[in-house]
Amino acid sequence: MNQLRWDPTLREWVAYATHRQDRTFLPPAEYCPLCPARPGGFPTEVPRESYDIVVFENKFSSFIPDPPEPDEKGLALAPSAAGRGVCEVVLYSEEHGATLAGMSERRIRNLVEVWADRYGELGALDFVEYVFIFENKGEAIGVTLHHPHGQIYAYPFVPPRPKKEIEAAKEYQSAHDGRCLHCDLLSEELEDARRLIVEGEYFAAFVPFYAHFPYEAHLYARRCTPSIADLSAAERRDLARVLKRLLAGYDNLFGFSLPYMMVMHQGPTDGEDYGGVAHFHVEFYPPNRTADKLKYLAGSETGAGAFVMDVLPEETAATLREAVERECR
Amino acid sequence: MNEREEHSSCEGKAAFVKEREQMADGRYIIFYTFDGEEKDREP
Repeated sequence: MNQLRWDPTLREWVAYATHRQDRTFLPPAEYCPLCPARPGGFPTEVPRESYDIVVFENKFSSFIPDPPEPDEKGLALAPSAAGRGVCEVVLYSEEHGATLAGMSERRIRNLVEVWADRYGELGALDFVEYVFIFENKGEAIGVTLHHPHGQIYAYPFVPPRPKKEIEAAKEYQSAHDGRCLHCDLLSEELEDARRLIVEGEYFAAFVPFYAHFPYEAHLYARRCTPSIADLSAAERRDLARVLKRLLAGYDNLFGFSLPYMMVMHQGPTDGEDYGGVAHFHVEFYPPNRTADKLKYLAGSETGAGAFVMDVLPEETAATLREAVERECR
Repeated sequence: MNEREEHSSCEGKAAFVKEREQMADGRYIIFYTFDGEEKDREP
């Protein structure tokens, strides 16, 4: 069952996909559904003995391309709608124990190519308004399969957080002679430099001045470009390079493979022109505030939407920068 | 529904082969294979 219900108080859709309750939960490695199907072995999702990078439709989708109209019609103020969209799984490697941080720059570069291809193909579907590429990593984030993989949600609407970001950028553009909010923010972060973590020729990563998680990082394209599909070959290579260095720094931080949420913000695919408004960037939210303590989204964060932080971004950026540099020595 | 596309190296972008197949339950699966990709092994 895939269904959307409108919350008129927050003016946002909530997706219901009740079949997801039965999804595979932390199976032992020999029963991993994302490994290649070995002869005589467990029948996995991937019917080949070996693969490079694979994308498939999620078996436990939050959205599907042809959902039935919901039986539940809802309320006059809170209608329901069919949960139409696409959910994909992206397998980064056939190696069960690999992580994105440990992969070669070249493989990450190839993955960038796949992400760009998916953005283009899914975004071209007439019912898709936003292509959201993300990775949940680690049990602390709620991951149910350890095999290195990410996901893509092709939403039938522009989801609330990117929407809010785009509205802010549009207002800024109108008030500042067409300037891009993200370009100007990046310029200020580069000039200030205290929160910078990694700099590449075409990308830069920093802990934002207003970070919502202790070790949150934003990885920005230096050029104002709406989506990953608009990046040049040189920019794609640099994205892979800077991404790898940042992730290696994360793993050096506490001496273990750090859990995180990695999300890409880019232009909606609803037919509007987002040039100078949407600025391709990747955001990372690791839940750890120390090696053994997590930042929880509790009363203030969840109920009021107001984040309260225990540490300053200037301090966490310095620690993270040192962890990246340690990796490079 | 088996489709195969070859994406050549254009303006320095990586070349790859994209093969789309249908699984038994109707879902699609896409295999991306890149030129000369070495296999990643955990150190």
